Amino acid sequence: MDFMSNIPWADVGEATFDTLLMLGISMFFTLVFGLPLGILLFLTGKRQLLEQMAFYNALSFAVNILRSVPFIILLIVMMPLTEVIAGTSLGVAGSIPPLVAGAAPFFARLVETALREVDRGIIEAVQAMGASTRRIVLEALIPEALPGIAAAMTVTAIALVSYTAMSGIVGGGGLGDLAIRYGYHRYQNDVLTVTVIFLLLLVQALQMFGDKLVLRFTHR
Amino acid sequence: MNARPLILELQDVSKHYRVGRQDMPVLRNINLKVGAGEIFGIIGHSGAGKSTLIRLINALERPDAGRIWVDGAEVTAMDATALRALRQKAGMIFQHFNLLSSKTAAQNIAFPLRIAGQADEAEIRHRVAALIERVGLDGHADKYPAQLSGGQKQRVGIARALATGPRILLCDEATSALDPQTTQSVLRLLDEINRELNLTIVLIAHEMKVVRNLCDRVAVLDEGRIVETGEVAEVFLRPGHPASRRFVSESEEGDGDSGGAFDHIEGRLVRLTFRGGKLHDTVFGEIMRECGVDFCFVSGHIDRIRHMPYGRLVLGLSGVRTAEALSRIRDAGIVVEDVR
Repeated sequence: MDFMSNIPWADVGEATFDTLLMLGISMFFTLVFGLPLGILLFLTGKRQLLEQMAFYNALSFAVNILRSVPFIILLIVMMPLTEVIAGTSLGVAGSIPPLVAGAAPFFARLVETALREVDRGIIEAVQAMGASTRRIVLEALIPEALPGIAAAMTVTAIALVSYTAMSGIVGGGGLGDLAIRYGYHRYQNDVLTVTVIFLLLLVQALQMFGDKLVLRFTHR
Repeated sequence: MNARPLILELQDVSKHYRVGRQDMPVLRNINLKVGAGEIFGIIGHSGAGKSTLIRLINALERPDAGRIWVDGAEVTAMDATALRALRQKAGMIFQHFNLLSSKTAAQNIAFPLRIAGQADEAEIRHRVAALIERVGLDGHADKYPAQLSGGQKQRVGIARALATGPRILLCDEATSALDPQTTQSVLRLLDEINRELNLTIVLIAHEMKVVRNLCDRVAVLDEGRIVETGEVAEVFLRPGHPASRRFVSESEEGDGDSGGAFDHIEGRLVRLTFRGGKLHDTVFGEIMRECGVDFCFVSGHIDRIRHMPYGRLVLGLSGVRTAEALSRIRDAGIVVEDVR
């Protein structure tokens, strides 16, 4: 097992922990910001409950800007703002704001799409019961769109895993950073292989968990 | 309407949609009165504006002009809060059922109760159980809509619409997605509910069959206008407008002398319409016998309009006293029309 003997397992362990930490925290804030944003996009869109085209177009444009900036650029451009928000632009803490800024608009779009998939007839039926818009959203739209929202969460979480790989730029650490430092800069293919396997397992686990969740919410 | 108190009134209601730069009129000067406890049908082809019309009643759509009253309150003058209260008193069922797929049958039925602010769980359970039994869904309470057949889904829809004890039930093509047998059983259920609860039902349909089976009165909608309103039997047996005649002939087998199909039949051809008890009366036979008139059956059918039996028969008549016989038949209250 000469191949494996040079692997700095302590570093791999720490990197795995950092990746999971970044993923967990950024996923949490992505949901916190992305879900309401997606609902707002949906509601203010054309022919929807709170149609407000000027507002929708402005919001949609802002979302598109954030989505069109490559994450690695976002990471750098956001640094001054990151320092204000997180107190530092370095390390795991410094990587969270850009991760959220990159993933929340992406997630919001997916949520918007999932909500649009809900049969308009169902919304109409709940309206006909005399429900307020708030209750339509909370008690009918979201439960009906839950399979789609769970799928959106899965896709977003996996996108976040790949974003965390770039957080090495700001010293965020994590498996991606480890792969670049050892595998690319030091030609240590064994470390590269191990990190890729770990990332693969992580993505696989997320996908399986996500699929389970979707199935759990689907009654169609 | 026979002196029933009014529960629904539309006065000079118009609505148009903007399509591109053009204004498309959907409803033009609609006037309508429906009495409490009535089953009122609105029949029209797709595009005639009937979906829009029924949605005006619970303000899912707003008119451009005109006024609408439901149960004494003016819908067209209501603010959002009053509207929500109105909708809780007006149940609605839909062609495609529109059940929440994420909720079980029981949860779907309980939903409007929760929306209406009912917080007493025991009371909700009690009410839902009673409704499930009433619509004949015992054993299906905990199934999701995807596990139910079309007819069962519509029964859930009906139970859901009845949950808050509405004064009026709006049916948007409620049986159009169902097979003929299921349609009959759902119509029967609606009929029973109408009688048990004295619940007013307003339904829209594109088939005369549904209206004939269930409705007391009908309005015929054609290109956004009501072209004829009346008792179903009246409109069905003596349609006054070409559009009404089209609907009637669509639901009937042709019984006219079309394309010389009856050329080989001797004598006079007449269409007799028997309504209600006249159908089971022997007076027709007596007259024919006394006048010595022979007859043969050419075409016809015997059926029911709502609860009234009727028969419409085309007969070939021969005999010297045919004219006298026909005049006596007329006097007996049977409608006679000459076919040839």
